[in-house]
Amino acid sequence: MFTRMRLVSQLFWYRLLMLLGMKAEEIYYIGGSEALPPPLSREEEEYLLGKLPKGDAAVKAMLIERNLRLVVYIARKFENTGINIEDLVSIGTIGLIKAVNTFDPEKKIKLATYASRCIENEILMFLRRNSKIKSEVSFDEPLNIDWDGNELLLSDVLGTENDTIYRDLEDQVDRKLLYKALDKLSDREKTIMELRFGLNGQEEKTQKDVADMLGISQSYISRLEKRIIKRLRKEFNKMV
Amino acid sequence: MESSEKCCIVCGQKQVEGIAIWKAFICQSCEQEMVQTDVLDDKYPFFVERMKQIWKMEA
Repeated sequence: MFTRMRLVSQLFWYRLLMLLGMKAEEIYYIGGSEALPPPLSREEEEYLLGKLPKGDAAVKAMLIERNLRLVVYIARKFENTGINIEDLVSIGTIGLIKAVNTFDPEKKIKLATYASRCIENEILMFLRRNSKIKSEVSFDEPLNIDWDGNELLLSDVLGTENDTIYRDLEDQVDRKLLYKALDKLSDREKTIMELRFGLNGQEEKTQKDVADMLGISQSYISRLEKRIIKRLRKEFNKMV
Repeated sequence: MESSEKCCIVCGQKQVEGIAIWKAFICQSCEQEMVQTDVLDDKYPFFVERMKQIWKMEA
């Protein structure tokens, strides 16, 4: 009964200050939690949660404010992550506001338990977002700055092999020239080259395979091959 | 009626409806927008920055 009366008077005070556009004159230093309002007792929390579904702004504000210690406590656990404590507390406060807004008193769990999960989750999600951003590197990322103030960008040192773009084009040209040169050969010579080097899109065959297919010896194929390549080279040189 | 208008730490506009946390005031629409903003949202860092106002040290 006493708790209820105290809370009613506190809520009245909250509403009055809010109406006047003022709030309690207290100082908070991130270094300590002395000035932070004390956590709600079980009875106080029960009373306020009973009023939460009505959407009373003063009730909501009190629930948030009286759980700020929780935010600071959880934020401090993440201090070694490289994120500024002020950022962590801000993120945690957003988590707390989300918790109070989404809390369902029907679920019969303590607000502090639910809020802790929301605050921690908010911070963890932010850390995940940050690590994702860190793993992405921009081509315009400055690597260094010289004496004249010119930035050396990542894109300046990244490159491709000089012939990467031309290689495919050159291969295409070479292939066309080869087929032109092949047209200068006799049908048998052309067949030998096609079979040996898979020029008609089929698998390359050994000299022995080709010899068997054409009914001639392997040594003869070997001699023919050398002669044909020599001739193709000549035709090639004429065309280039 | 003007006396009940407070400056929202998020949008900087003078509003009547909202919540007062510590010495700061967050208007209802900013509060709702913040609650619905995901950590991955582009606007999220803006809210983080604005929320620091709550913890601003007073001389």
